[in-house]
Amino acid sequence: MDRPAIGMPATATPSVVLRGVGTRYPGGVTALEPLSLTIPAGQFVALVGASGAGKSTLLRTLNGLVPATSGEVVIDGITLSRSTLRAIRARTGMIFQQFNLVGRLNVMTNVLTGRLSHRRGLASLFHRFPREDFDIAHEALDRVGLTDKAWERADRLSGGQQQRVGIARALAQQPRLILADEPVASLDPGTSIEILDLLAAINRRDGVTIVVSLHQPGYVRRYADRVIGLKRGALAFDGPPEAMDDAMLATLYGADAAATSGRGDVGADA
Amino acid sequence: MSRTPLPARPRGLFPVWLTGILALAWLAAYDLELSPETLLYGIDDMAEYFGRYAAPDFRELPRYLVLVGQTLATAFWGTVIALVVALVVAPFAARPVTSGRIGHRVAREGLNVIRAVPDMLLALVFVAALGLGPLPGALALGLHTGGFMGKFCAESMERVDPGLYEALAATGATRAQTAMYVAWPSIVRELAGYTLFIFDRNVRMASVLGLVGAGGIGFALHDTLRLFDYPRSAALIIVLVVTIAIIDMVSSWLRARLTPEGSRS
Repeated sequence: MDRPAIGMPATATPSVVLRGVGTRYPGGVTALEPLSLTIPAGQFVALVGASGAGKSTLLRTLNGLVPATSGEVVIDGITLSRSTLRAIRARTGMIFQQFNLVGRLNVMTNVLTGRLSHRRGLASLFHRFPREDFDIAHEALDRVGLTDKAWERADRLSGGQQQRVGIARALAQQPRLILADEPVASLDPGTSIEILDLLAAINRRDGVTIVVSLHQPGYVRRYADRVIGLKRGALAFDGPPEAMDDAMLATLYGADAAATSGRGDVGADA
Repeated sequence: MSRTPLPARPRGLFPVWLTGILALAWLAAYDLELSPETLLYGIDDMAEYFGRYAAPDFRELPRYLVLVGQTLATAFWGTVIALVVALVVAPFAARPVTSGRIGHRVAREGLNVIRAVPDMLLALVFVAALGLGPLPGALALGLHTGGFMGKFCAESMERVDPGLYEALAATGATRAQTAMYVAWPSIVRELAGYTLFIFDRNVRMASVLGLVGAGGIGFALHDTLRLFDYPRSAALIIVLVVTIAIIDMVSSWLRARLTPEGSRS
């Protein structure tokens, strides 16, 4: 039985276009050197680089959580600005290393927060949602296999389950683009594979563009269509995963890391 | 065997502080003409005065209990008003939730101001404006403790994991939605503790507010004291103290049960 696709079909409009996008923090520290790149719709992109290389910052400039201080961010043909911020965020899911669920709310309500951008009425403030939103949330929970946990408190779930709720919350937004900030850095290898398999399925079946920061070269090779490497806030690599050899890893992570890349595990995140 | 010598021991400032505080205490006593002699001479007078309260008159106990009920109701409504004030103002006063700098400033300073005005003063004003009775008392308590409740809640909201606010912002939710889905749910446990604490305090304050005409058992005490009716005053004071002690015990017991659970994993 095939469920209707949650995301939008891939279109000719690129999912992400960055033109000279850079980020400088108020103190004068440069988090991201100006960079330009295009991500076509439907691509599975892995962001790699040592901790502090700017992966999180780059991801956050895509939905305006960190404002770009130079250049232009275009998501699905819409230029990111104050007036388009909410519209872009509404269709951009985000999942996090620490899951960032509201622990005290039940799983269903956490997933329904993905619908908030579509509901501006007073009812939405008091946790009242129309039937349609419950159906969307139900379907999203089904996708991640947690329908039976719908009424459990989110903080009662295991880490892997919480991350799946995080994915369901992103799915409830009916996203065109999903940003994932080290989604498996706090999970064991078995659970990591489950989570990345889910993201891959969403990418392949629903055509949702995925940009995910990952530390493990093994996972990058297994899942990504394209690898973007950052080093000290600057673009250091952009190519297919096959081109990401030990020399490249040594450049990105330092020589020691490349030597251990065979074990598929580099630089557990701080 | 040779050891690296200890560095010179830093000099503590304790003696300086102690001298300063003693000097201040002496100056204050001198200025207020407090002296042990007056206190000694006064002991006999005091003993005589308090002796007048030795025979409490409990014949009107049912009426007193109704008045206690009125005092508790005043405290309860004061607490409800404080909660409403906090519900509206606290999200604006919490940095991760609020949007504009101006709104944040206004909310913060507003809470500071209503907290700074003593509830006794507010009660006097409201009694003058609205007449005698529990209503001005409840309003005064509500406004004053609303300032506390709002500040406590705003500070709790600022301690919530920033990642939660980020996650909601990333979905495109509004500030108001963020307040209702992240800020308030994440602090319910603290909120319950604050509410008990404020109610406990309001019961104590409500009994005193009666003295300025804001109803309840304090108002009755005010009357009997002015009529030099010592037996009835004594009974009222005992009823008051017992009530406060019971509320205090229940409130601490409940708050102890609200022990912080393990942090979010």
